[in-house]
Parts: sequence; structure tokens; C-alpha cells
Amino acid sequence: MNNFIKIKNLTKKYEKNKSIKVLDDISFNFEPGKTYSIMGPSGSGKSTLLNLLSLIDDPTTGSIEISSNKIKSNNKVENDLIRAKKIGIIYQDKNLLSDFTALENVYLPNLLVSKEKQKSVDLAKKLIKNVGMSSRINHFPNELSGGENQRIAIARALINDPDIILADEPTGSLDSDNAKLIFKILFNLKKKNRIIIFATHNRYFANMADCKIMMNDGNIQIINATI
Amino acid sequence: MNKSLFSALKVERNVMFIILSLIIIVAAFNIISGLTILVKNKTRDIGILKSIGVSNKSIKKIFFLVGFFIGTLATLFGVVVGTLFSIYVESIRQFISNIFGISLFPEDIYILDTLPAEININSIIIISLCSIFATILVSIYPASKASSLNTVKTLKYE
Ligand SMILES: Nc1ncnc2c1ncn2[C@@H]1O[C@H](COP(=O)(O)OP(=O)(O)OP(=O)(O)O)[C@@H](O)[C@H]1O
Ligand SMILES: [Mg+2]
Repeated sequence: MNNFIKIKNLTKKYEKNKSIKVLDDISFNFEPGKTYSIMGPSGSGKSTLLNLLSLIDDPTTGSIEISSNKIKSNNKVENDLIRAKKIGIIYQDKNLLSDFTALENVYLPNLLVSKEKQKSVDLAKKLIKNVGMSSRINHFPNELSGGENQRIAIARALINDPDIILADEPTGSLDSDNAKLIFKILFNLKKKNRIIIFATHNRYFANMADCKIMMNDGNIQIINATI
Repeated sequence: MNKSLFSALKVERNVMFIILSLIIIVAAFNIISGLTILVKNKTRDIGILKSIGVSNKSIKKIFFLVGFFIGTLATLFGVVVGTLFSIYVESIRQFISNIFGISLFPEDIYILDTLPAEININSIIIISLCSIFATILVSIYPASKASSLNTVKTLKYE
């Protein structure tokens, strides 16, 4: 049950008129129980890397291995299932389905895998309570502030107790107080076996991670903070 | 005299069939365009569903079912309204004649003094099935499209 992410010679190219190499032969091991921050200028490929790790995008060449399972990019069904069970994703904004309440948004991913509604609802309520949003469970996303939406999104990302949490500029559209709150919640999610990876432009939050990954021109540079 | 009347009625019937078929085709295209717009409006939501691990098959199912429900409800609605119309066709004719002061279905041409209408259960069933079949057919395309969108792009969609 060793849980890690291994990427090997990962390359992502876009061919349009001329070829753009967004990721250039990247290899790295993400270890369980650690937090990783991804920094880098705009367009350096942070979102691209996170989309590859979340199996939403396919690499041009190279391989991804999650907990010893080699990912096959043509096996969409399997990859969707891995994403549902093992990976919690938080984007910068508009994470939630606008036609559903906070509670419904949170329990949906669990319903997907457990098919037991009452259990899912109870679990969702507990997680929403953990992010301090209990009084708002029946509100729709457009009735909540940006920060509140992100807290609900975190609760949703956690509902299947994922081994991996990926956050792409989760506080990109929040003020610093809300950003602090979100990162406080995120860092509290660190468990023995969980990998947390987030992209951010904020140096302060990036420095709080166990390991910093600097991206530039399709390459990565690793800076271990706390050793 | 009767012979030419009957052939005229037959032509009328055929033309009616063509017109009504065209209406069904227009209605079918309405479902296609409605669903296509829905897929477009829900592009971001499709991305969100993908991000929580919903399979392409389920996304296809969602949009297919929307089309199917709309079509089936419309069929039921059409059957009810059509049947009521057939039952009360004579009253409706008189009502319209009175209001607009025109004579619909003039007695001296059609020989009959009331507008005949026959409710044929078999026809209703066949037409309903055809229309539901048509909805199924036209829902498939937008649904497949929804499920085959590039997830990265759907997530960037505003
Ligand atoms: N579909 C595409 N076709 C061509 N180029 C693309 C495509 N998608 C992304 N790119 C390019 O890939 C590069 C990396 O994009 P990415 O979104 O990963 O950057 P980022 O590091 O997340 O930037 P930001 O900090 O602004 O979010 C960009 O230069 C972008 O132009
Ligand atoms: Mg980005």
C-alpha cells in the first residue's frame, strides 16, 4: 500500500503552426505525507502539470505511475475511476456546480463511488462542518462568497478521502485573509499517506510546503525547504 | 362526382401527412439545437463533473436523458392535446366559425354536416412511438458531443 506518484520523462507538446514544448522531459517522485508547491511564471506549465497528474490531460510522451499503477492514457474509464477515488482537485474558482447546493456539491463525488445516499450526505455534512460552513449547506454557490466557495470545494475534494490533493492556485482570486484560511485548511489535510500538491504565485504560501518545485521553460528545479 | 371528391380528399390527406412530418422534423431540430445550447451553457459543469471523476458514459447519459425526457413529455402532451382536440373537434369548429364568421368545412362541399374525427388507438401508439424514437435519435448527437469534449478546454470555459 505504498502510495506515491512517479513521473518519468514527462513531456507535453502542443503542435499548432509551430510546436510548443510546455513540459520538457520531467522526472520526479512525489512522496506520501508531503506537501509540494509549484511556482513559476505565468505560462510555465503549472496547470499543465497538474492536469497531467489529475489524469485530465494526457502527456505527449513519458509515464505517470500512481501507487504502482502505471497510468494508461487511453483507458479513460479506469482513469476516471482513479480520479474519483484517489484524487481531490481544487481549481482557482468556479469549482462547484451552480445548479446544486453546497451540500449536494459535496456529497455528489461520494455518491458516485458508494451509491449510498444517506451515508454520503452524513459524510458531506461532517466535512462541511470541518471547513466551518455548516450554516450554509443549503445555499447555492452563487449565494456564497469566493472564499466560502473554495471551502466547500475543499470539503468536496476530501469526501472520498483521496490519497492525492491537487490545487491549482486555490487562492488565486481571494484576499489575503481568506487565502490564509484556505491554506491553513489545506496544510491541515496533511496526513501520513497523503500527497498535497498546489500551484501558487504566492511566495509566502509556497515556502510553507515541504518541497518547492520551480518551473521554467518546461523544466523543473527542486528546492527542499525543510531538510 | 364522388370519385373526384375522394381523390381530392386523398390528395389532401397525403399533403397533410407531408406537412405534419415536416413539423416533426422541425421539432426534432429544435431538440438538437436546444440540447446543443444546453451543452454549451453547461460546458464548465461538464469539466467539473470530469474533475470529480464522472465517466464520459455518464455525461453522455445525462444529456441523452434530458433530450429523452423533453421528447417523451412533449409526446405525452401532444397525445393529450391531440385527443382532446379530436373529441371536441366539432365544438372547436363551431367556435372558430362563430368568432371569425367564416365557414370551416362547408357542408355543401364535404357533404357532411359535422367534422368527422376518429380516435384510433393504434395510430396514437404508432405515432407516439415514432416521435419518441425520433427524440432518441436526435438526442444521441448532442449527448455524444458533450461526452467527447476536451476536459482541459471545458475547465477553461467561462
Ligand atoms: N491547447 C493549447 N494549445 C497550445 N498551447 C497551449 C494550450 N494549452 C496551454 N498552452 C500553453 O501551455 C503553456 C502553459 O500553460 P499553463 O496553463 O500550464 O501555464 P501556468 O503555469 O498554469 O500559467 P498561469 O500561472 O498563468 O496559470 C502556456 O504557454 C500556454 O500558452
Ligand atoms: Mg495555471
